[in-house]
Amino acid sequence: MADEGNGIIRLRSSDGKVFELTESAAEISELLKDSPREEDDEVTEIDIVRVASPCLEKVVEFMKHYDEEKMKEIPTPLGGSTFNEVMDQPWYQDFVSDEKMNRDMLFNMLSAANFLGIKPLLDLTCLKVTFQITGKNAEEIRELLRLPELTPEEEAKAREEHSWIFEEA
Amino acid sequence: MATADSTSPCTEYIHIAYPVSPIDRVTWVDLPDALWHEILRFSAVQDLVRMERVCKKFNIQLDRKDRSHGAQEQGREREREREREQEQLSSIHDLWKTHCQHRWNDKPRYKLTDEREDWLRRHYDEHFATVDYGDTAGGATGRATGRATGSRTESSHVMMGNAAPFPVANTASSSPSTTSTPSLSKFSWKKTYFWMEQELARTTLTYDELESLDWYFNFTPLAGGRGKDTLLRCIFRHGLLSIGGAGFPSLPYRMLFLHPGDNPDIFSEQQVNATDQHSDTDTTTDATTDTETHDNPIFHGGIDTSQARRHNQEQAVLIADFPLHYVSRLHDSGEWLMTNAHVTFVSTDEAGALTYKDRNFQ
Repeated sequence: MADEGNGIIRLRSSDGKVFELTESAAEISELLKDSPREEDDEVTEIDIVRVASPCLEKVVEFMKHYDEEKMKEIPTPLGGSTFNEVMDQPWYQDFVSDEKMNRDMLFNMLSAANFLGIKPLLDLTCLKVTFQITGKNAEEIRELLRLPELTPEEEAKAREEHSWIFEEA
Repeated sequence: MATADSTSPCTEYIHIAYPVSPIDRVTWVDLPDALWHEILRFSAVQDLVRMERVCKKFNIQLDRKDRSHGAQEQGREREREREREQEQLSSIHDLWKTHCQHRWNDKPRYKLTDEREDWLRRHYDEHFATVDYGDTAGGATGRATGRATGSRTESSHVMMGNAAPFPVANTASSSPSTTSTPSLSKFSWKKTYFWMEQELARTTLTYDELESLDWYFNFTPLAGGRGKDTLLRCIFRHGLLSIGGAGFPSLPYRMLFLHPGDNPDIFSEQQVNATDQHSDTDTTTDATTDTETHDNPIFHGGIDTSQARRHNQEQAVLIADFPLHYVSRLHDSGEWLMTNAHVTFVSTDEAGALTYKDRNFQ
């Protein structure tokens, strides 16, 4: 068996692309950490059939960087009113910036982080989504999250219970 | 080689069983409940409520009452659906409980403890379940957007009159057996949160609170106060104020409710202020309208008031024949303040936790 942390993990995406990272970097993932290894194998290959290559590439990029620079824990309540105030590490700010990651990719990353059990990535993407929602009115949130319209009955109930939201819109 | 695909197990693969559903384009509604819980744990109350407004996942609470009607007569599938709803509801409860914990954390008499949570659950039916939901939510928004929230609602009157003030330990221990324990599913942290917002915005001190709370007392520098050296505990009981330490006689007190236009024949706080400033402005008669007068540092014995508080323009406490003590409430701790130019009373919990630092209290 390879020395602990020195082995290589190869992740194969749903569309067949392979991404390589060290065991040490892969340790951040609960799924990968707990996955069985063949003794004497220096290279372990794991199929990640739920994650496509564009997303898996970003996930691996995150894991590699996290191995070099740990992400600070995100406090609750949040210690700032903007994303960059809360997340003050430039690399992580940039990693999920609007320029680098569109909304679809963000949700894919969020799901992938959950699937792979990568808590820091899950926190980072959740925080990003949170700030995308923050301060938006109900209709903007519906559009942002592509939520289905409520039925007239549901709308009436929501209006009854949350009248102030309708007033502010 | 290992795989996360359970559909094609192969001996040469290390099998990791996970449901297979390729993540191509995830939308909010596809996310499992645990994930939106993760996202919304960072959200502010206002954003959380907006989500409830637009997302069916959150509206189960609204629907539950109707849809659960006659659930026992319905089939197993209906029961499963109901179980799923209960799980989602539980998740929502967790979010609101977290908000309660954070919101009350810096308020010694409100900070959530196991004992207080138990009190809330036991008294939920009698105090919280009838909260005017729309009004309370509106109050929260008003504060968030800077709108005035001073208007009293019907429910606030009810609570002021009948509800045991949370979390007075005496109340909790005095009648635990008389209240039926509501079911967990009925208990709502969200309603409790908004009830507490309304409660914390209340600026009318009840007689019960005056007499059941413990108080600190101090003189302002103008009246010879020397910080902690002159800080004393005191209690209001049965119409008599007892101040700790030797040399203070018990003093009678009574609560006054003032109305615009009232001209109480009493040496008012405003009169003291006007005298101190040698002002010829008309501040001597209307004790109910001049907020700036209350905030004037000179009025407060030369001490700048940095801790924000809500003033009650219509209530005062008369102690013996001293100038009126006006009632206000501290934003940060939720504690009560009674002040005139010479003295300050600050409410505290039984343990005597004192966070107030203005008016010579440091």
